[in-house]
Amino acid sequence: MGFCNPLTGICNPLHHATKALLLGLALFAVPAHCDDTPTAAAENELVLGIFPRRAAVVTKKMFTPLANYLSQQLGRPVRLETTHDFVSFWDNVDRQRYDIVHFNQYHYVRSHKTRGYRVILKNEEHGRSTIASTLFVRKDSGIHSIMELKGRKIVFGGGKTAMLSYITARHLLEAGGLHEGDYLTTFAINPLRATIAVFYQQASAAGAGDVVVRLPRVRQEIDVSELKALATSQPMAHLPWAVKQNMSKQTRDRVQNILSQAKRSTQGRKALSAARLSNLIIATDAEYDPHREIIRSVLGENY
Amino acid sequence: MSSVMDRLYTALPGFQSLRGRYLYLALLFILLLGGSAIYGWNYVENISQQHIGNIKHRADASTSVNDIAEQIRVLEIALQRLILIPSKANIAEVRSALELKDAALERLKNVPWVQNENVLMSLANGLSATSGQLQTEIERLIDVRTDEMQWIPANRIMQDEMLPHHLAFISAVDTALDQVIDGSPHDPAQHKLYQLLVELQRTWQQLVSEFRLYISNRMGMYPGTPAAGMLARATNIEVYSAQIDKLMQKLAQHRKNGAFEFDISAAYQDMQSSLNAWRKGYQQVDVILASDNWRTDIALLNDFINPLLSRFREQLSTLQLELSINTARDITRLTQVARRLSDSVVVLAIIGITFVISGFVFFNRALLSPIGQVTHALKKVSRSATGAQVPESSLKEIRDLTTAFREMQEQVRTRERHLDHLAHHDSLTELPNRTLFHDRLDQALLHADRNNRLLGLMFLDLDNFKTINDGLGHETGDLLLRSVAARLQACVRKSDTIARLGGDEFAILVEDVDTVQQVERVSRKVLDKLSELFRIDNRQLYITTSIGITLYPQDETDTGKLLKNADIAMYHAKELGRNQYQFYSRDMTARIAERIEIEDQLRRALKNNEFEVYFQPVTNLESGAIISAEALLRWHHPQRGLISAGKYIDILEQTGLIEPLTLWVLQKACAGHRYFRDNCQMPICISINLSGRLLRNRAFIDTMLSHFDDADIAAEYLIVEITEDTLLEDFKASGNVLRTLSEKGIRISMDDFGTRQSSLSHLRHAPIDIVKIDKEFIRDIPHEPGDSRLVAAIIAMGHGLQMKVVAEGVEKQEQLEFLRAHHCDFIQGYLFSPALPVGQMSRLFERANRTQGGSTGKAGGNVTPLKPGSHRS
Repeated sequence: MGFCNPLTGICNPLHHATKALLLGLALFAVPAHCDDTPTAAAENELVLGIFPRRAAVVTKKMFTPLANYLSQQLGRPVRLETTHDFVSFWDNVDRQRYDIVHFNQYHYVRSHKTRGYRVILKNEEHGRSTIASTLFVRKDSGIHSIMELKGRKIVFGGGKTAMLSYITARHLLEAGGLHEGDYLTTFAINPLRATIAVFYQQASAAGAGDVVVRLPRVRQEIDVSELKALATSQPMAHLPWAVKQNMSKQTRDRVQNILSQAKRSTQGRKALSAARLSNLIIATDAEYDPHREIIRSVLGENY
Repeated sequence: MSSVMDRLYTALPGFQSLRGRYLYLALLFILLLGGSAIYGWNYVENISQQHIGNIKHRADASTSVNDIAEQIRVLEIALQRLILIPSKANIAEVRSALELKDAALERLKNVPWVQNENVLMSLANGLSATSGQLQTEIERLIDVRTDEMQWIPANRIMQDEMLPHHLAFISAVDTALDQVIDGSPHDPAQHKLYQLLVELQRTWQQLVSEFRLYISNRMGMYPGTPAAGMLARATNIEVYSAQIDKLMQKLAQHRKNGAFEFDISAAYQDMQSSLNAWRKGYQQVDVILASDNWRTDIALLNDFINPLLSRFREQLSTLQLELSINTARDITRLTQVARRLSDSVVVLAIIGITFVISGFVFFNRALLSPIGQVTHALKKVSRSATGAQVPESSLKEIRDLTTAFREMQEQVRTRERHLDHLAHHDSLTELPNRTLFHDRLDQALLHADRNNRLLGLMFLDLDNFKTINDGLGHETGDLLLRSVAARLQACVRKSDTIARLGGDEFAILVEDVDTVQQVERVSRKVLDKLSELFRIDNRQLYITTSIGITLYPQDETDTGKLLKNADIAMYHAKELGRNQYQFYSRDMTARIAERIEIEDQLRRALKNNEFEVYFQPVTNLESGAIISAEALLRWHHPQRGLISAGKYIDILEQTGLIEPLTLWVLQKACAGHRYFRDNCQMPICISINLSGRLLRNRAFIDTMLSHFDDADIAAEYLIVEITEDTLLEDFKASGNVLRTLSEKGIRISMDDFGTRQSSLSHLRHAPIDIVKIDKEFIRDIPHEPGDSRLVAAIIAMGHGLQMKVVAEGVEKQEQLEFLRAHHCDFIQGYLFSPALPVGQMSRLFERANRTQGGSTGKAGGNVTPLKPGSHRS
């Protein structure tokens, strides 16, 4: 009767049930959220978190084969977890929910400092393990320099934590003499849509990875030959894979070894292909120092 | 390629024909155009419907997004008002904005287009999530803003902790003062204590006042920055606090000195504890108010609501961007559709042009080119060139055309052969004609040259064939010619050539002969064979031929001259009495040349008026009177003098000069009649001679009668003289003409009677008025008994047939006496007068009139004029 209204004396069964359910869920969820105190069942399990670069369903479909491959090679369960948005994802990172996590460069350097995640691998996509940020404009826009973007609308792919599409793109703008407030900022749901928005003249420029114009999804949608790169950054290390700080060296090395050697086996190649990766390359934390410098320069955050 | 065509032929009925192919092509074209039209219509319709739906849904979505944006703006304003004044109205305004935003968001999520687009739905769900968090935080804000304790956390410390201790401190000071006043107020110690307590009370009040000013500065009630004001007031509070501590130490000294009564001592303890508690509360408040979170609502706004609003706007901006992208994409696609339609028009135009060009190429290849080839072949055929090729085609029409062409080509060849046969053969006798004969003659000459042999060329002309042909009809004549041809073929070797050159003329080439006798033998054989009886249409006919022969190379080497030689020789045979052959000799050529010269001279004579009409009078035997005159043609030849017509009448007939000359004679005869009538008062009859050929020429007769009608002479004064042969050749035609003349009143005279073939039947049925006994019979009477009996018989016959009888060529008196004795009616001859020009004839009349009073006659007998109409009873 503790769930009855003390003023009216009326008990709401639904309210009662809801609270009971929430309590039950809370109790049930506690072990999963508490990595530091694993239960016997979860002791052997590794949680793989993938940042919401794509829709959760798509992400699940893409990385399940890789998780299964890793699990099979490690001889222990690997559970893939996806989230619908960056807030939830970052919340999980913040709570060190993931043993292995694949995220963008900004998330990595931030989590490295705040939660001690350590990079072990980086993506190789379409044969490239580096990626550059590019400002795309239409060829017929008449824009030939960054300064000509002053007062115009610039669309960035993803949110303000997008390393290539926003942070590095802003770094390019600042290097070209444009600072925040010199242009109108708008965000597309992802770098692909940002590029497409520029093609359809909904913005004057788009910040995105340089590979975006080579992606089939973009080429099917628009005629990329009508776009040009106004400015492109230096190639930077691709999206990282990191492990929790307290993961044993043996486990860390095994995970790194298994995933970096995945390309050598048929099953591994299939898993990589499903994840739209050409390979996973061993990476070190120092490779992300340029990212740190750009983040510091643009956002004023020191990681 | 051919196998494909074969399959098409099998699979598609009628594909072999151009018509079928055209129909299939047209059907294909119609299907192509129809399919394109249907596909194009469906494509445009689907795209239009899809984009119209998109535009409608996007308009709905845009409206919802704009509504959301508007409500966010209203919400921000309402939140500002709420922060300033947390009135119920402002709270209601905030909640209203939240509800309207949520309603708009719900409408957005219910747009089907948004539901179908994962990206848009994801964004809408993100907005919903943010909206939910926003609503939670705003409710928190309302709670905070409407609860002062929550609004400014320092309030609770001030109210719950500082205020009671402040009141306790004031109360303790007042209690101590009351005890001092109630005790020994005039005691200096007590007086000092009293002053000390009053000082403490005043300093406390100043401390509290500074604290209030500190709070007021925090609230921003004074110009300048709150922090500066707060710092100044805090310093003052510290100063007053230090003063209070000094005063409290003095009080403690008094208490130690025992100046306090029990109650004062209790009050002092209360003051000290309240002071400490207040200070503790102050320190807490100072920390809170110095921080950024001194107002919970501002903190909420900055830390939660504003970031949420910012995220919400960012998400809304992303959603608007997606809407804009979709709008632009739709516009681009519609533009592409329009461009595709334009391209389709161009493509259709290109297809149309290609179709026309292909059609031309196809028709050129399938139809025009084969037709051109057939035309070329036709031209070749028309030029009699060989090697005319017609195209082989799979098209039925072309095959039909080529088949028809081949059939036509075969027919042309057949007809060519036929025409060649016709051109080189006589259709009646199937013998080679003149053309082929010439060719054969050329070949024979070459052959004779090569083999050093003789060649005999025989020219045949049937004797009197014209008489048979005219008399018995052309059909009989044709049958006779066929029979003659057959007999001729029987007379020669197969290697010899027999040709019909025209009419009743034949030619025979006798080749490979060594002697003239061989040719002569053939000639005799021909004469013998033809002299045999012919049985034609149950008639028995006899025919002979005259043959002229020339030999190569003795007589001539030229083909034309050889033929001419044979012709001359044939004429010579005719002249010699027909039914014989004559070899060509050079003197024959001279005679023929003379004849040709005469022809030329006759033509020139007609042109130069070298002819003259003489009149020979015919006199009545009884009365001696001139009753008529025969107009006789005389030719004043420039070199040879006067030539009588008998010398050249055949030539005139053969050359056709007989017609104009006869008309000219008629004209002159009529002129003579008028002259005699008008000048000599002798309206005698005038007779003219008419050849049988002219008599059968109806057109000429009509012309002659027309001329006569214009001559102003009564018909009974004209006598037309004909010969016996005239009636014999075509009695029916001749009889009709004679009856026409007779009906007009013109009299007919039978000239030269007895010398030629004559039929008494014709004489009886023809309208003959006068019989003129030929001078051959008159010449030897009365001494030659045969002629005398014949003349007497003719006179008797003439009279028996109601005809007048004229004796021609009377030159002797004894002849006159004989004729008178046998009652001959009239005489004509030198005994009375030769033929005379019109002038002499008029003088003859004048002399006769002078001597005999109207009668004339050299013989001195009375001659009664032949009265018109008097010759018949």
